[in-house]
Amino acid sequence: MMVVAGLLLLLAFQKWGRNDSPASRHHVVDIRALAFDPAQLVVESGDTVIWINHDIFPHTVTPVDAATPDSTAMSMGDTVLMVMSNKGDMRYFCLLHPSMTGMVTTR
Amino acid sequence: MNARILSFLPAVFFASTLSAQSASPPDLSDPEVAHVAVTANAIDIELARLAQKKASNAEVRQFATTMVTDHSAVNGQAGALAKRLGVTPLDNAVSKSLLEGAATARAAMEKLEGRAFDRAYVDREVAYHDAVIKALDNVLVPTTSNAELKKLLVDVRPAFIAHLEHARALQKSLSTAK
Repeated sequence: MMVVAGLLLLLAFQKWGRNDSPASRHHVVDIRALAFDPAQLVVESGDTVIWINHDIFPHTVTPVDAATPDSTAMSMGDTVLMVMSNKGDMRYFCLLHPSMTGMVTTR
Repeated sequence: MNARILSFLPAVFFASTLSAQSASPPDLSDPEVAHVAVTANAIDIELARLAQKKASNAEVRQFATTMVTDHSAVNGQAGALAKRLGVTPLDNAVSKSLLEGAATARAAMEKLEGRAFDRAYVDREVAYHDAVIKALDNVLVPTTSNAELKKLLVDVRPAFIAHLEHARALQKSLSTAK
């Protein structure tokens, strides 16, 4: 009985909405100190990735192989959402700060 | 005077003025630190606007756009902080020296065109950001008393490192370009 109660308690406190939860359909990438965190993310097809800019500097989330790079910059506090439908690796970078790079792998 | 030498002048002066290795680094008050920081940013913004118009290389123009965007963001934050703290940035000898050096460098760069301008601008940005980072580390951050101002200076440092790396990459690219 105690073991069952313990397992139920564990399930009740399971975290949702962050990258470390296998059941989460939304994943967050924090942009802070000119870096994407996490820089590498693995998601399932159909999952949503949300980038949040915590920096005072504007940033972009620009796929490397984008035919027409989107230069719309995110100000501090802005978010960008992408639903990851295509399986494979999406490498991206910040157009304003090319040393900032990241990758989302969709399974 | 050789344009490339002139492009280094602001950085050399900045470094020598604020170097912790000099006999007596300037004793700056917090309002003076704020003024130096705002001035240093403003200088880079002004030169970047020149580069946005004159640079022949698209990547150099993109870099200049980043300089305008980022240094403007820092000055925006600095201005908001100063207002909240009721502090008026105080003009001082260091700021004046920075402005004098910048005026000299700008005058020389305005005479350059094409690749000569691109190289002079990027060389200057490498030297300037290197000097700014050293000044932050050796003088501005240690000398600042106000915790919020100190935090702002520390928080913007990663951006200046990124700018330096970006400028160095451009410098390498321009030196190998045919």
